[in-house]
Amino acid sequence: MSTYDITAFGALADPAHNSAPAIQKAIDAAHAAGGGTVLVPAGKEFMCGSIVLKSRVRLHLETGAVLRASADIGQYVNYEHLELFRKSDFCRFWIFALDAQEITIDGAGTLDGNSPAYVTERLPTHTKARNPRAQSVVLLGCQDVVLRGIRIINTPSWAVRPAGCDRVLIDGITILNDLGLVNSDGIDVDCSRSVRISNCHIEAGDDALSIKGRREIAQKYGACEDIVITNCTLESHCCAFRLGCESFVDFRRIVFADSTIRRSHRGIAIDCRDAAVIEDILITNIAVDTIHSPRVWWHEGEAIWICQVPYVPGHYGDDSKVARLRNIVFRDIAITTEQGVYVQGADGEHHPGDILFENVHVHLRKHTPHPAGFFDPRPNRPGFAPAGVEGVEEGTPWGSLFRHQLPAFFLDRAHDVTLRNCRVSWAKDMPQVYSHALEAHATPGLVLENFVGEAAHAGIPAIAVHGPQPVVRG
Amino acid sequence: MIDIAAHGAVPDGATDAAAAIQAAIDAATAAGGGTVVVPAGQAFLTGSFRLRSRVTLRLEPGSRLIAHPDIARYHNRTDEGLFGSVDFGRFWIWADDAEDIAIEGTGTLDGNGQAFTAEKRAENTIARNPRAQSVALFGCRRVRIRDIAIRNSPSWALRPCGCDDVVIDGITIDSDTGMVNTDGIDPDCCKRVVIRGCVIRCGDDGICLKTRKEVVGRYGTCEDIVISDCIVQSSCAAIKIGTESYGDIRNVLIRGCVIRDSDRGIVIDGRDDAVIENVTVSDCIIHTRLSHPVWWHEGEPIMVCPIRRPGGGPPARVRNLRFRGLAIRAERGIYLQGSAERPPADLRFEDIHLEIAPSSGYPAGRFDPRPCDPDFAPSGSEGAIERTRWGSLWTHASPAVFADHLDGLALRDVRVSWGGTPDPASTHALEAWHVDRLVIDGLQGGAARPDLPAIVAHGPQPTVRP
Repeated sequence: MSTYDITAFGALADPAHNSAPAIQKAIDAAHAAGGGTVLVPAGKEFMCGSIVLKSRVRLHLETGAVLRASADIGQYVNYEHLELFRKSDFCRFWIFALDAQEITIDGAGTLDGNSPAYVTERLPTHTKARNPRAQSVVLLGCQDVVLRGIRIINTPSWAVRPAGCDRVLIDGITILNDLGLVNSDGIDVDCSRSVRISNCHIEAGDDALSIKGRREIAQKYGACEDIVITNCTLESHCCAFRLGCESFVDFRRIVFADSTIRRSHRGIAIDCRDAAVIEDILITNIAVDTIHSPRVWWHEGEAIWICQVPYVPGHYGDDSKVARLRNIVFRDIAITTEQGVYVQGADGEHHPGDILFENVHVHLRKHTPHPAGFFDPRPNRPGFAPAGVEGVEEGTPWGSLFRHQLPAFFLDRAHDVTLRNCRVSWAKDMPQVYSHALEAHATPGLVLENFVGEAAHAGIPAIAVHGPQPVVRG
Repeated sequence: MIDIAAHGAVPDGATDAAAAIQAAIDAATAAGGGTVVVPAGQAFLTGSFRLRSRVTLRLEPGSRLIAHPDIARYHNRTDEGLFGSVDFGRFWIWADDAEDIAIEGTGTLDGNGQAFTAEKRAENTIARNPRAQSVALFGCRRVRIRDIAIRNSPSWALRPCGCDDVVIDGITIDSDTGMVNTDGIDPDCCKRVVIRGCVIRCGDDGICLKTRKEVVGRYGTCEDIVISDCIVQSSCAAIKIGTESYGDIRNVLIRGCVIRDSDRGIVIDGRDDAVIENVTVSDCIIHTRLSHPVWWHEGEPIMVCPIRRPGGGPPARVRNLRFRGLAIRAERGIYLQGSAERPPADLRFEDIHLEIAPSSGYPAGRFDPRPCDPDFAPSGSEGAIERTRWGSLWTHASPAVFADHLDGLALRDVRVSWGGTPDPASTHALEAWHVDRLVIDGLQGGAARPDLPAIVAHGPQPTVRP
């Protein structure tokens, strides 16, 4: 037998019945037979708590089939007992696999993470939810993973997390999460290699597509390498595409291309905080639409955001460690945004650099009612401030939100940044807080080749460079 | 759905399932088409079988077809003029003149390379010949290969030959990185091929477009090829056009690929008298390194080398090659080798970041244009290290970009940097010999040593813009 219909193992299309034990039996039977297809039949909805995928099992969701996550957190396995997750908030998983090979989830059905079950309050600005919440699809230490065609909706935390995996193919999946819900990431590639993500549509309250190396698994599973992401459409109330935040492993050889970002609170972010090497990153052919956010969100509509400000010591990362960027390329990026490109370093060794912006066209307009005029490098250590701030708008233990004029490009304590064939344009009647086409502070090795752009208002210089002056060509 | 077990295939690891699989395929095609299923979790030993029109071979989860160790059980076309060569005339899973065929599912085709291994050495694997190519499709139309893994192939893993409208999507190829001829995917005289989202690790070329002598008369050119989103590692060339170019190869788009830990990155060879034109390579990351001298490669991230075979006729006419947006980390530079009789025309490199740094411990400073006449030497060579009848290996200074006998080369916004302690052979950013219409626009970085000029041009002088 190749196919294991979950209804033959006792699953009931009854929203009150936890079908997890039945689905698990089907998975175990398929696995025991050396492999097989576990079938969720067409047009039926099943509720279940945690299930564990095993080697050579394909979970096939037929057209219209739905697996809905249990509303009862007691029906989720708590993997705190795994040494790897002992110190982690993220130790509850809905659909999980550990050290398995040849795992597939496919079909035109739906995985429903049931986030409304966790919601305590819906506000106009965001959604409040109770903890703990489970991550939906977590594959740890697996090889040869295929996710194809499925729809994933309403995950209360991260939707898909390949962690410590090799050879992962994610093709044509759709993730639709609550845009108001923090931690409802789309895809988090964590310490994994040979990953291909294509043709996906992701809407997520937290990061839509993130590459990271989380502290608890970094040592065992190692670097994020050889990752190609193409033809995706992303929307997020945090970062649409992000490298880092947690970067306890090196990131190298990553292509992000031919994709769009819409109505996101931050477009493309590189968080280089922890002691990683981030090298040979190609980000090309992306159309970006970013907007300001309600104050509750930690993002200021930056189309591109690169931040190497140390964290609060001991909280997120190790203050003593320094990330290194090498050969970071942004090419052919068309941006319409409420806030431009932001590159933020700090004193000491915290200088992001070796960055090329080529054919990056930034068009600024202000069309949402959300407040403008702020820089948000959080989380960061207390006492840090970007150059040129006009005051602290809001202080927190994780750093401050600062009042600042809004240039199209802002570079502070970076090094070896080249802007080649970059262009800035402004909508009519921009608010007074918008300023230069380019503002740079303490950025040695700045090169401007064919930089085209005026300031937002008459009487303001287009380019304001403090410290070492740029090499200008063309 | 036709289960091969229903036709008598026995998953005992000893019985040859070929006849049963063939019976299932023949039944499906006789019914007007169908899906032949290799059942989940079962491993079948099998000799050759033939795919037929309108049949999908579906490899269920955990299923495996293992190639038979007995070479006598393979389809043998070595007696046909068409496939005359002893090395390349045996096939495991094959089709001829079929349409609407597919191989799909997450199961595995295991080429049983171990059975064709004579000796495993530290630096390479010695194969036992003859060996069979694993999946060879001749003259087929509308071919789809998706999700499967092809492992341990003893020779080429997948050869669409003379096929039109081919989609190869999300497959994994994993072969012995020490064994020669274990190519990944070799589209040979094909038209309209898409290869995307594949992970390939193998000993010989990863993806190789070609027009072989024995088939070109029947199947003609190789045209309209898209290769994207692939991750490739090879002990030869990761992605290559050639070496055989007995028919034209044109309109090739290579985009968004990651090449890792390979002996050569992207190679356009063309030893035979046809046209290779309109090739675009964009937004790729390339890491190459030197390796044990047993391998005929010298860590070139990009190599263009249409020259005569030993004793051969004129090489390919190569024209209109565009390389844009490449992040390269390599142990040696880009190698562009033409000849006076057929200089490659109109090569353009734009937005190239080229960092050269030692990593393997093997020395740079050797140029390897083989196969070619033993007397063929790159301009500026300092003497032969090794002479064979297939050509010679030369001592040569190691610039970041070497260009010899080209008709039109533009370098725009190329950045050269030298990392670590440069190999002593490292020299200029660009060394050019006999390059007509050489334009250098916005070269950044310089020679490996301050006493050397960034650019040295012998023959026509370049137009240089800052």
